[in-house]
Amino acid sequence: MLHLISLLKGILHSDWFYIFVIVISISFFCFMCVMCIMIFTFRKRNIKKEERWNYFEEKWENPILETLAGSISEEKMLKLVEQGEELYWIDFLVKYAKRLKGSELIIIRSLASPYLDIIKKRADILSDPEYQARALRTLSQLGDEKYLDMLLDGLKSNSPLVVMIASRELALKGHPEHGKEIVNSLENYIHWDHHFLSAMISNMGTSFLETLREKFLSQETSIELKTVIARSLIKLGDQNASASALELLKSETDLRLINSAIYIVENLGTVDDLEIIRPFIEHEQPSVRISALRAISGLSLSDETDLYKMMFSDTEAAVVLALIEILVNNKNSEILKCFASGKTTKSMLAKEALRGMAI
Amino acid sequence: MIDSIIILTFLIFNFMIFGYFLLINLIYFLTSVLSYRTLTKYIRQLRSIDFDELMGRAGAPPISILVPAFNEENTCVESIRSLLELQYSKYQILVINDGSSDKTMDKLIDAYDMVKTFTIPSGDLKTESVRGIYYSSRYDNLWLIDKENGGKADALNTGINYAKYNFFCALDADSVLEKDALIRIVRPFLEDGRTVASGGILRIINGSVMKDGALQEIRMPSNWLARFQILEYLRAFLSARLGWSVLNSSLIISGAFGLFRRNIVLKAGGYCNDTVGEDMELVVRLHRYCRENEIDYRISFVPDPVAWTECPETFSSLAKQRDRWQRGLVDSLSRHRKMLFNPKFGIVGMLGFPFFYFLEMLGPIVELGGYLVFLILVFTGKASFYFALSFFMVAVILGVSISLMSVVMEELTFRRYKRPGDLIRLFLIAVLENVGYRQFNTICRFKGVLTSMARKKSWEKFERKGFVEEIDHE
Repeated sequence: MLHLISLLKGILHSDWFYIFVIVISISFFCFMCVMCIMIFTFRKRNIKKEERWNYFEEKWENPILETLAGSISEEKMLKLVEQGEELYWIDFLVKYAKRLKGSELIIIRSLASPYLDIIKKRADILSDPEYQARALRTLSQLGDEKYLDMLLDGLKSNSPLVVMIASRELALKGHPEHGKEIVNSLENYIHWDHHFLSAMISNMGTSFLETLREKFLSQETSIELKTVIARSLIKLGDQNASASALELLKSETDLRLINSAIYIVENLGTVDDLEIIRPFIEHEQPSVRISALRAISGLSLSDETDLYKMMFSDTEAAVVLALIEILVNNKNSEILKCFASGKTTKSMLAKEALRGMAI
Repeated sequence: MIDSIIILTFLIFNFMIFGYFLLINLIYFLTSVLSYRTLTKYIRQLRSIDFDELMGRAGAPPISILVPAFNEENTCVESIRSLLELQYSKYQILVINDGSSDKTMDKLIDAYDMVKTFTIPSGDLKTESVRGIYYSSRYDNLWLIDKENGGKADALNTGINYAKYNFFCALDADSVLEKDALIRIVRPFLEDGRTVASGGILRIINGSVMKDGALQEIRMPSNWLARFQILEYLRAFLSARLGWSVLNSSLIISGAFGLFRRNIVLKAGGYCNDTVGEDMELVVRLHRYCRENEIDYRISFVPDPVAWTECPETFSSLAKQRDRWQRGLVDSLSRHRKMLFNPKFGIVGMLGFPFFYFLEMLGPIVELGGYLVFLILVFTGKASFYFALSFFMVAVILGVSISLMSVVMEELTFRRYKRPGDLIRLFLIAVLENVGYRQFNTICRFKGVLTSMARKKSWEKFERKGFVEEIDHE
């Protein structure tokens, strides 16, 4: 014990220990000073940036409004953009491009055109994906077809951000001839929210539905992408999608895809399609049973009381809840009254639903 | 012999404390560096993606905002008004009155013309019984659930059961969200479909000017205790949480502002009723649930969606708050100690959890013990005064450096405190908090560790003044 005490005391009182403490203190003191300098530098830079923007806004705001109104010529406006101010000018125009449409947007694009090559050159030099993405967005918003190749190159980028921006801009510009490339590129950032991606695809319109259906049935397409496509087909109201979905349901085993396919049929199918849907009501997975129940309830023209009674005895609470919700939405109070007559929790739920319908 | 044992114990303790200081500051430093890197990248990304526009065109996922309220008659109407003005395409506000004994219900019913209705819950979390459900005849996205008192977690679970959408945002009734906060907090869910939860930054509203439920001017509070907390929040959110989130090891999403994927939370069992730290416990459980069920997941922190909240301005309320936080931490970590150094839980189990367990949970014991031992050693003449002083200096320099890093990040990115005087005050706070405030905090946290065994649970809140009365003093 005495040895240990003397060893610990030795360390504590050794020069090395003090040197260690001093080194740490000095290093962090220097670090602290650097932090202080950084804070003041950032503050100074931010103030300067703010002042610069205020100056530009004051300088360009009124003339650009007059240019848009036609009282100042574009040439006169462009004379106000001095050397070294080009990138600020482009940023300034982007803000307008987002808000304007039609002839006013054409004027904004024309005002930007002499300077867009600077952005393109910088994007070629700088490999930073954030800058590339920003450049693509700017060129797409302010540029013309001249920069289309750059967007198409963006689809091949290694950066998911760049690919996403490129495909989104192409989708918004409406280039059905590139639909296949855009849909293929989705695989690069398929981890993005599927609702978001399907909304993006459906923005492209109905001109490449054929491509979407092909991808939906292709063995090479990932399940995630198929789910996205299924949602897009519904959003686009593709009448032929139901046939593709039914085709897929014959062999598919993945739950997400089965649910998506049934959802397509529910939204775009007809009563004749129910023949293929009905067997899924006995599927082992509750989510599939719910999807099938919704599809049948939505499409069927005949009395489904027996089916509803069968589903009411389902062991899964979620299925029973979905059934009650369907019956409430369909205002089917007769069957609900029948379910409410018991004393089970399910019957209590039916009673509650009836009470709600009365209100 | 006894003398030797005492000396040896003291010596070992000295080394332990020294190690603890070095380790905790090293980790704070590393997470700050990680945060800095992430922040700079994030800011550049914001320039390339216009999220407002993206949301507008592509349709953002709808969100249910859950606002549990218990005796919030002073602030509830104002807070809801600010929520009604959020910039987001589709959202539902669900206020859950947890059996308030004041006029919270009456005020909400009157202010928003609430009408009684009926709806079937789609979740199956067990909660206290619901007395009634109301919808606003003025705002079709505003709902009110009146239920028996069961605590905050129970109120949130009721909200989850009745939430209409698959994303829910848990919010305190006294928090004020910035108008674009939902657009920003939903971003990780869009970018990465694996995201199950994301947290935003909480900032302190004391001293700022509010008008019509919205923040009009950001100002430093005049109360020094509130000022200390401003820097403390900056450090906690910008330096620590962001850094841990990069490692997917963030164990806390503040109960005052967080966004969750409802179906996963339902599967994980919702909020735990039996703890005072239900917000942290849920996040730890989500980590555990996803890892145990081999779900590829992410729990994120986004640095720019801001919720403003009132902080305590008296020592007694601050002590009460910190005691509760510490108890929440102890309870959450103890419940899931299975995760500690368990490789099955990946980086959370091997790094994040041990950090919170040993350095955040047991830290106050070591820190307070350290102060006591130093005092004893100095007064009994067993330790050099200069050694104690130099040790204290190192601790202060490390503390100030890490605080200043968070000020750098604030200045680099969001720069909310724009007046030059505010910057000087932040510097002062970074130095002054090390003498007195930090020690006070340690004592409160120490007390929290000791009392955590009592497992007290209730809506323990400091008395809030209400935004208008407090802030419109111009």
